[in-house]
Amino acid sequence: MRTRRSNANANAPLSLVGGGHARDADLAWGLAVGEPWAIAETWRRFAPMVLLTAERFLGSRSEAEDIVQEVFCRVFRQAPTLRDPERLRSFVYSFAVRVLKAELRRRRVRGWFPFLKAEAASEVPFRASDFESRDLLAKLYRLLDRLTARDRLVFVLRRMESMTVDEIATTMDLSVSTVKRSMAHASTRLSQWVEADPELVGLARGDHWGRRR
Amino acid sequence: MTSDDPDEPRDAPALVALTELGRDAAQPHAPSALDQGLNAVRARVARGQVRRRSLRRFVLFGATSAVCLVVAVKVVSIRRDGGVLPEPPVVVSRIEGGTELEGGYLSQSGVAGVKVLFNEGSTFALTAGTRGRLRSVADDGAHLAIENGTASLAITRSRTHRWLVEAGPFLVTVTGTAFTVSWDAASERFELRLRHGHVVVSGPVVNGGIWLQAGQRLVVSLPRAETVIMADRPDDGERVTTGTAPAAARPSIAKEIASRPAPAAKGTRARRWAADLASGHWDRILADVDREGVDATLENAGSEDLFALADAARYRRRGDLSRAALLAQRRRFPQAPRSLDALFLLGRAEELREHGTEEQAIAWYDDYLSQAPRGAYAAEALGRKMILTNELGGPERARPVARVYLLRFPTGSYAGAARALERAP
Repeated sequence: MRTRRSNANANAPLSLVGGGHARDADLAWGLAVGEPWAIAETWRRFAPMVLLTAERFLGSRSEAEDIVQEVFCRVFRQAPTLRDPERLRSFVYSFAVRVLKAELRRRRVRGWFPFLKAEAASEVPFRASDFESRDLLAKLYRLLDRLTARDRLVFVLRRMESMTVDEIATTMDLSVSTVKRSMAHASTRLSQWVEADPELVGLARGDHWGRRR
Repeated sequence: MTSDDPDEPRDAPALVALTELGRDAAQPHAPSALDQGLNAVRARVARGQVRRRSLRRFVLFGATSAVCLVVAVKVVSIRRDGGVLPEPPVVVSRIEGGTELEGGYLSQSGVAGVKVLFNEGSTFALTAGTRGRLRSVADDGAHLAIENGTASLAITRSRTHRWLVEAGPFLVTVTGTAFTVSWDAASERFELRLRHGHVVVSGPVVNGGIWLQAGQRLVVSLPRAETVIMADRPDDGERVTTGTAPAAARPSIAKEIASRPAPAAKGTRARRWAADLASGHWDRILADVDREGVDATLENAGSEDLFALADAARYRRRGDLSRAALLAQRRRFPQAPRSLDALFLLGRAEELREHGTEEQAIAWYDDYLSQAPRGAYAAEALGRKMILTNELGGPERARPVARVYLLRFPTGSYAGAARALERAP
């Protein structure tokens, strides 16, 4: 390890020194040799994005924070295996996708264990402090819970993260046609469920109850 | 949400709005929080630790012993809950003798009526010529409607599913039961024959909700403003031509057990507030109240109507009216399940009221939590209590509530706030 780090440092581009302006490929090199600045810069560059995705996917900020730590621990450990340093962003996202899918599976398993199961459903961000928003969001996440992990991920990445179908296919290591099928399936089912709920249909008409304070 | 692919399905408008709400609810983390996260990751990387999960430790402890333990606990849990397993969502499994049209209307293809079968065993059978519809079918039950004619229902008993059947202006709240219900729009005559189980019927002329037991028959005539409850005779009246066979007839009791005239609707339209609420016609409900008078409404409306009124007033920010409806609900229907919900909503109404106080809102939440510690709103009530206690007395006073909250609802919607309170100086 020591030798490898020395060799890598010798070949590392000068742009690595600053960190803040480093290209993704430079970061990948830095991570591969365990450079502290690369760890910090990778976190600074990608963690906010993964945090938001995880929070939107799970509906829980505290769980998202746990997930992101797990994702980056894996990224930092596995960085030497990254074949194409230019694809660091996809590399990070692919770990995020894997960890999020594992988290969903874990939740489902926990559903069978009464003593491991928490009483409440998904935590909705504290910022959505009005009762109705949290109620509506809780409903959204209950509906998302009914989708398969793949459909849920595709839907969240497409609709909440505004990723293109191609980007989703790359991140999730799926074919474009599979992503499209998954998206169609998720969209159709969610639309049906939402339209069966008068309160949610009311939301589309802007019927939303505000708070006094 | 836009789509860059013309072949991509379009989400329902409500789903688009909901998705946007979900997207906007997540906000970027503060730099200090990110720094803390980075430090935690560095520490984990330095220790070479993988993510610690209780389930993973559990599996490592020994898969075989874990499975045995889980099975044992599951059995105990099921026994303790009276053998109740999680219930599947309600969905239509098939429709015999017809099809479902837009808006949930049921179209008959033959002369034998149409029958809807649900996945959990319930059935909804319309006689030939009856006009009915599936207003909504959701995870937690279904909302059915008969606009004219007769239907027979057999509803499978459930702990969580809620079934509502509209027949003209009447609303039948069902748990597990079998009954035949009819509504003749021309003569404005409502009739319900209950074979087994029980139902609550609410609507005009019935002076609030009427609780019916097996073997009873309810007939309401709107033009005569007459409500009659009598013992049902199995060979009396029409038979449904499709649907499940009637349950075993109960011993016939020929005498009428109740007959009570009810005040006629004075120039107001028949109440259909639950339906109005479901359709978003809140102003229509409030207009009815303004016509009839608040006091008269609060004295005459049924339990479901009061609840619908409370919601409509809340949605239109008429906090005092909402509160009055909830208080009437508590006073007039103390045993109804809605009365417990009303406790929590009174707390919410108090928070929304112009001159409401945090102390009074907390008192309502405490009442709710003491009477329904595992109720549907328990997490919300405890969370609101925590927030209000913090507003009143600061973190020192709110911290014990936060601890209780985290113990009971570690992933609840207020868990983030509770943790913040625990960390607060």
